[in-house]
Order: sequence, then structure tokens, then C-alpha cells
Amino acid sequence: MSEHLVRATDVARFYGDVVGVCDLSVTIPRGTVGLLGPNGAGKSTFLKLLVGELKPSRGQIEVLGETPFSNPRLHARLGFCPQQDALWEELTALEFVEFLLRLSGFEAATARSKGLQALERVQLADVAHRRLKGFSKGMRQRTRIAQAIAHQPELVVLDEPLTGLDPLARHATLDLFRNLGNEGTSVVFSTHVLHEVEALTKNVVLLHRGRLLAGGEIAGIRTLLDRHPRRYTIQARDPRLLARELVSLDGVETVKFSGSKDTSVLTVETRLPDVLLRELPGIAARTRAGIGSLESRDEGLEAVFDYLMGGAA
Amino acid sequence: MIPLHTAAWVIASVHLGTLVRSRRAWACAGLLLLPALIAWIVAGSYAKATPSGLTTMLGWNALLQVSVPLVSLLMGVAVVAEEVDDRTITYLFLRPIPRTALLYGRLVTSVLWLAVCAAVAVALLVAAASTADGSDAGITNGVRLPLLLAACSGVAVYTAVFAALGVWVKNAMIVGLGYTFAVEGFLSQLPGRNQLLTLQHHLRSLIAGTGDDAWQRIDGYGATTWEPLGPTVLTLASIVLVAVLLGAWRLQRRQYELTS
Repeated sequence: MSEHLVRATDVARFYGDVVGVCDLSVTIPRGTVGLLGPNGAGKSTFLKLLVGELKPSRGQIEVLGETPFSNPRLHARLGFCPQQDALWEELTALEFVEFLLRLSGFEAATARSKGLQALERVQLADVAHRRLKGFSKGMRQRTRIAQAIAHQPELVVLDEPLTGLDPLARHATLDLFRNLGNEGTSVVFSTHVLHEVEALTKNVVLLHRGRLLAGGEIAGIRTLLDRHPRRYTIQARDPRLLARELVSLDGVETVKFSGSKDTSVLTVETRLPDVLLRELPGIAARTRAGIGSLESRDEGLEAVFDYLMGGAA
Repeated sequence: MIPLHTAAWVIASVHLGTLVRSRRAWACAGLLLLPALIAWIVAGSYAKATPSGLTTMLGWNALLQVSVPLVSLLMGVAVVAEEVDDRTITYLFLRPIPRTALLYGRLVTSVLWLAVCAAVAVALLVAAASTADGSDAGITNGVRLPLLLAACSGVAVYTAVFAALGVWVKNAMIVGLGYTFAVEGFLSQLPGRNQLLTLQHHLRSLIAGTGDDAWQRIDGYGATTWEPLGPTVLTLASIVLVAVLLGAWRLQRRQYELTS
């Protein structure tokens, strides 16, 4: 059994003159991993390389120890939910999942029962016998997820799986992914919505313009941020007094005001957070600015993303 | 990995279900039935029309030369291209099956559908032509059966060729139309043995090899050197085999860049 889920070495994929991904080297461990990046970052291209829909233009990629392109041995072990809203419209939801299960090697009766189970997991059991052409966008998305998980693969790869889902379905789908993780299935999913990743995993791979921006645990990525200013929000009764003292501190780059008069909030960006944290209690006592709270956005993925994106731009 | 024949069978059975509900399949059926419709109109409006004359003329020119290649092009090109255009090919290529099962499975159902339609078209053509008032020897088995054989073989050979073309070429429909109505037409007009390079010549050789004298009324029939039946069957079978193998070889290696 391969120790790593994915090992990519100098992978590049071009569409003519357009760069899909470039010089991508990353090792993804087993578990749940979020692939994050804005539109056009190369997430879908990377996932297509990962599942073997495309071949790298150069470099090597291994998934579960196998080369993915046109590799049925690997395809027996993975499930893929593509981003494109494509289904065989004339089939019912059950026929759709059942058909693909039969192509995974299950007998007709087993495929039928496993198909129903998968549709139950995505809350579509009650419409299992309805034609797909009558399905809403969210139902279609859940059907695609059902076919990806129905054969209980070792690895499930999902390209923007929460797109088109209403809040309830989104919540249920996040729960489903969590359960898959608990059952020992590795899940790799892409999204450009940060809180979706935070809700599921600490393991992320950040892509931007086809290149790897950062990869690993959010805490690990955090160390990459040392060259970027860290941002703190301070709620204070008298923020002006506080701001006057803070701007003179070593490392402080910007101090911004926001909020109403009574509960004003200062946003401080500093390259030397240790200095800020050491001096802040003294400044608070001296100025009597009335600090209500101190928060750092730095542990939030959004902050990591913002910083790294800023650095890459 | 799932065995090729199992995967092809599963794909074929599901494809047949969706195919019979598709507009493309019924459009092809309609095109194949056009010669029968023409025969029915002519039989009722032209006093000199004879049953045997109508069947041979329309079978030779309308059915074999126009309808059969055209429907085969429509269905053949779609064998793989339809899954690409619909972007559903992803689901099939990421299952533990040989990729070629897609080509074999869908090709078999496409040919089956067209062959059934072609058989019905020949039967209706014969029935429509039989209503003509003109007297001749009537529609014999020497007219009916060779036409049936050529029409069914025609959809099989053309569909296989166009299915392979659809795997290799991006604008297969345009290339196929060009081949069918320009290249074959041009080659058949060249002197010497250039007709051997056309599928039409081999299909018509099937008729010449099995048909009766009723076919002599076709222009140029007597002046053409037709191929013997055995080599003709062998040639057509070889064309199907080579086309399918070339298509399968390409499909095994080809990447499809699908947009979201």
C-alpha cells in the first residue's frame, strides 16, 4: 500500500499555449485534502491529471503508487466527481449509478443495491427512479457524487463538489465527506470557497496560476507566512490613543480603523508579531485605551490564502 | 480490470436503451425510409413505373448511394464523439474497463439499429414498389435479397469507418461528408480500376455477385467489372476490422480535454 496518496514531480500540463499547471511538485498524504485556488488556478487540471483523464505534458504523477492515465487498475480504486454538469439525461438516477457500478465490476443485483445505498447517502433515494433530465442543479451534483462513492473506492476525488448545492444539502454533503474520511476513505476535493476547506480539513494544497503556492497542514503553511505581515484585529474603547502608540512599534506596517465610535476596531499588520504581543499590555495600561479583544486572523485559512495570494500576485 | 466483452456488453445494453429514445436514431430511420416513400409516390403517379424497376433504381441510387452512407455517417461519427460532446466520456474512461469497450459497445448497437432500420427500409421499398402498375417480371428474391445484403453490409462497413474517423479526426462529420459525396463520387468516375478504392463499388459488387438480371437496367451495370463475391466479402470484412482496430488503438491513447 502506497504511503502517499499523490506524488507529483515537476508536473506540467499545457493546452496549446495555455498553461494548466506548471512545475508542480507536491506530495499529498492520505486523508482528506482540500485543493484550493481561485478560478483558473489549475485545480481542475490537476485533478484531471490525478485521476488520469489527462496525461502530464511533462513530469510524473503517481496516485496510490500508480501512474493514472488509462490505468484500469487504479481506476478500480478511485471515484471521481467531475465538475462538468454532464449526465446521461435519459437514465434515471439509479440507472446512472447502477450502470457505472456494473462497469466497476459489480453484478447487476449488487450494482442495484449499492446504487440505492449511494443515492441514500446523498439523500436522493426518493427520486432514484426519476429521469436525470428533470433534476435540479443540486440534485444533479449529488447524483455525480453518488456515482463517485458508490463502489466504495479507496480515494474519492471531487472537483468543486459543493457547487450548486443549497445550504442544507451543502451541510449534509460536508457531513458525508467527513464520514467518508472517518471510514478510511481518502478524499481530495477542490474549491475556491475557503470556509468549505476549513470545515473539512487542515490539509490543503494551494494553487495559483497553475503553480503550487503552498501545500501541507495549515499550521505548516503558517511558517511560510513569516515573510508576510500578520494581521491582528483589536477592539478598543479609544482606538486613536492605541493607534498612536502602535504605529511607533518596530515591525508595524499599517494600522487601520473600522467599526463604530463606541466599539471601534483596529486592524494592525506587523512583521514582528512577537514585539506587538509583548508591548501591547503595557501600551494598554499606559493609554487606558480599553482593549476589549485581540484576534489574529492568521490561523484562519482565509488569512493564509490572502497573504499567499498577495505574495504571488 | 473488467473483461472487454463484459464492459462492451454493459455499455451496449445501456446505449441501446438511450439510442432508441434519441432524435438522431429516428432521424436516421427516417432517412433510410425515404427511398420507400419516393417509391410509393412514383408508383402511384408514373404509369410506366414497374415494381422491379423501381426497386432496383431506388435501391441502387437512393438507398445504397445516399441513405446508407449518410445515416452511417450520422451514427458512426457519434459512436465516440457523442460521449465527448456530452462530456460523459469521463465517467467511462475512469472505470476499470478497457477504453476500447466504449467503441465496441456503442458501435455494435449503432450498427444493430441501422441494420434493423435498413432491413425495414428494404422491405418497405419493395412493398411500395410492388404497388406500381407497370408490368415486368416482378420483384424476385434476386432483387430483394441482394439489396438487403448490400444495405445491411453497407451500414456496418460505413458506420465502422466513420466511428474510427470520429476517434481520429476532430471534424469527422465534415471529413465524412467530403469522403462520401466528393471523394467516392470522384473516384467512381475515374477510368480503370479506381472504383476499387470506394466502399460503394464493393457494396455494389455484393449485388452483382448475388443478384439477377433485373439489375442490368442500371446505367453502367453491364459495363462495369464487378468483383467476385468471395473477395468482396473478404474486402468488406477487412475494412471493418482495420477501421475498428485503428479506432481502438487511437482511443486507447487519446486524451479528451473537456471543458467544465
